[in-house]
Amino acid sequence: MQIIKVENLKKHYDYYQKDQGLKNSFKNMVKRKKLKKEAVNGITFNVNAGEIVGFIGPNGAGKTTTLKMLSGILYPTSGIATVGGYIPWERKKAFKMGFSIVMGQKTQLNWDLPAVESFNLNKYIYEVDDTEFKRTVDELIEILEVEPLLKTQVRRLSLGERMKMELIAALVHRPKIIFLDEPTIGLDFISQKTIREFIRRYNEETGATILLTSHYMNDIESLCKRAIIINDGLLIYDGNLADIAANSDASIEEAIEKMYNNAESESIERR
Amino acid sequence: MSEIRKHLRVYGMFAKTSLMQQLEYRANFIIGIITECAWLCTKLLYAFIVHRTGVEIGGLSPDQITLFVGTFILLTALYTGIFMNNLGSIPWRVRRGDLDLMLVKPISTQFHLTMREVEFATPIPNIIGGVITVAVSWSRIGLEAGFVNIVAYILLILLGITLAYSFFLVPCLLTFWTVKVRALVEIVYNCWDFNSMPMQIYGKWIQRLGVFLFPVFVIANFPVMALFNSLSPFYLIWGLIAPIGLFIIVSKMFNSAIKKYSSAGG
Repeated sequence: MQIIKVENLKKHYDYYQKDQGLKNSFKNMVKRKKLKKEAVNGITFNVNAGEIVGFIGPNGAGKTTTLKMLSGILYPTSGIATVGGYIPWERKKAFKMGFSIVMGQKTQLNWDLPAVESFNLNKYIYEVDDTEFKRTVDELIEILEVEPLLKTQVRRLSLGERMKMELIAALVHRPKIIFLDEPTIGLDFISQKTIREFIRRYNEETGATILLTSHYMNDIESLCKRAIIINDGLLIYDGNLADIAANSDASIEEAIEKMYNNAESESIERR
Repeated sequence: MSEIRKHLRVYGMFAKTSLMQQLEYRANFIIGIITECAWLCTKLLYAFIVHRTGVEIGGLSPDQITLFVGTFILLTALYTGIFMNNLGSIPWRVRRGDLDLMLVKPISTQFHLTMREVEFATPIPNIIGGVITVAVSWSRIGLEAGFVNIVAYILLILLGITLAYSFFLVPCLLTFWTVKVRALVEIVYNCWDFNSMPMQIYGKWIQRLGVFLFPVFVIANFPVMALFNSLSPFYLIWGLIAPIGLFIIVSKMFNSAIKKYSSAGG
C-alpha cells in the first residue's frame, strides 16, 4: 500500500540578492531585483507502508524543503502530495495525529527542564492515555538507555543525549509515518550507531514508514534498501541503493557523487 | 475529549511548565517581582497624588479615578501574565523558524504560538495591588457590590483583555510578510499606556478615535464606565462587538499569515 504519494511537487521562493558593501545595502532599500529560487522543482515518488527510504542529496538540494511540504509546514508552489491519505498542507488534525517529524537542527524540547516534562506535554497534545503513555515512554527510555538522564535539564545534555530525547518526544503518540531530517547530524559514531539501531528496531517492531535524510552514508546504507536522490530540486535516482554501484568498482558514495556531477553538467547544458 | 477541554488541559500544562521553568532561575524570578513592585508603586503614587489634589476629570471624582487606575493595574497584570511575552516573541520565533514544530502539532497553532508561556513573577504584585485598589475605591464610592455589578465588571475586563490580545497581535502578524517589524511593534505596544488614565482627559475626537478606530480605550475604560452607569447602550454593544469581532478578524489574519510562512534554515 502506498502511504506517501508525491506528484510533480514544486516549491519556488522569491528572494533578492544583495551585493557586497554598504552602498549596495542602500541601493537595496530603494530597488530590489526579485529572483526566483527553485528549491524543489517537480519531484515525483511513492513510498510503501513500512518502508525505510533514504532521501539523499547535497546541501541545498531540496531535501528539507520536501520534508517540510510533506509535513504540512510549507505550502507547495504546485503539485500534489498525500501522506497517510491526507494532503499535508491542509493541516488536518487527523493527519497531524498520525505522523512525526524530527529535525536534527531544531528542538521541540523545553530547554530549561528535564526532557520528561516535554514528553508529558506531548501526552496531552496527542491525547495519549496514561497507561499507553507510560508503556511507550518506558520502553523507549529503556531501548535508548537514557534512564540516568531523566532528571537532567535538556540544556545540560550532550548533543547525542538530546537527540535521543527528541526521538522519544516525537514518538510518544506512536506515529505511523516518521520523517527524520538528519537525526544523526554532529553526533559521534557511537551515538550515530545507537540512533541508527533504534530506528531499525522501531521500524521492525511497529511497521512505521520512515523517510530519512542524512549526510552520513553509513546511516543510509545500514537502514535503507531504497534511496531517492535529488539534486538541485530534481529527482535523479529512485531505486535500490545496492544497484547504484552495482556495475562498477566504485563505492556507493563515489557512484552518487558521479551522479551529482552528471546531473550538474546536464542542467548546465539545458541552460 | 472535546477540543476545548483538550486545549484547557494543554493550557494547564503550558502554565505548569512555564512556572517550573521560571523557578529554575530563582534570582530572575525574584528580581521580576521586585521590578514590578517598583512599577506598581509609581502607579499607586501617581493615583495617590491625583487623589490628594482632589481634581475631577471629565466628571469623575478622585475615588472614581482611583478605581480606574486599579482596573488598569489589574488589566496590566493579566496582559503581562498571559500574553505579553508570547506576542513579543512571535517575530523571532518566525525569523528563527521555531514555528515549524508548532505547525505539526495537533492543536491550534494560534493558541500554541500566542499562549505557550505564562508569566508568573511580574503579575503577582499587580494582581494584589490592583485588587486592593479596586476594592478600596469601590467601597469608598459606595458602589453596590452586588452580583450584577461584579459579573458585569469581570465580563468587561475579560472582553478588554481579549481586545488587547487581538489589537496587539496585529503588528506581530506583519512579521510573516516583512519579517522584521520591531519599530511598528514598539509603537503599538506603547498604546497600552493610553489606558493609564480615564479617556475623559482627552478631547472628544481623540476619544472617538480611541474607541472606534483603534479601540484601545475600550480595554480599561468600559469596565469602569459600566460601574458608573455612564456606558450608553450604544457603547455597551460596541464593547461586546469590538473584542469578539476583532478576535475573529485577527484569527482569520493569523490563518492567512501561516499560509504565507516560509520557514527558515534549509
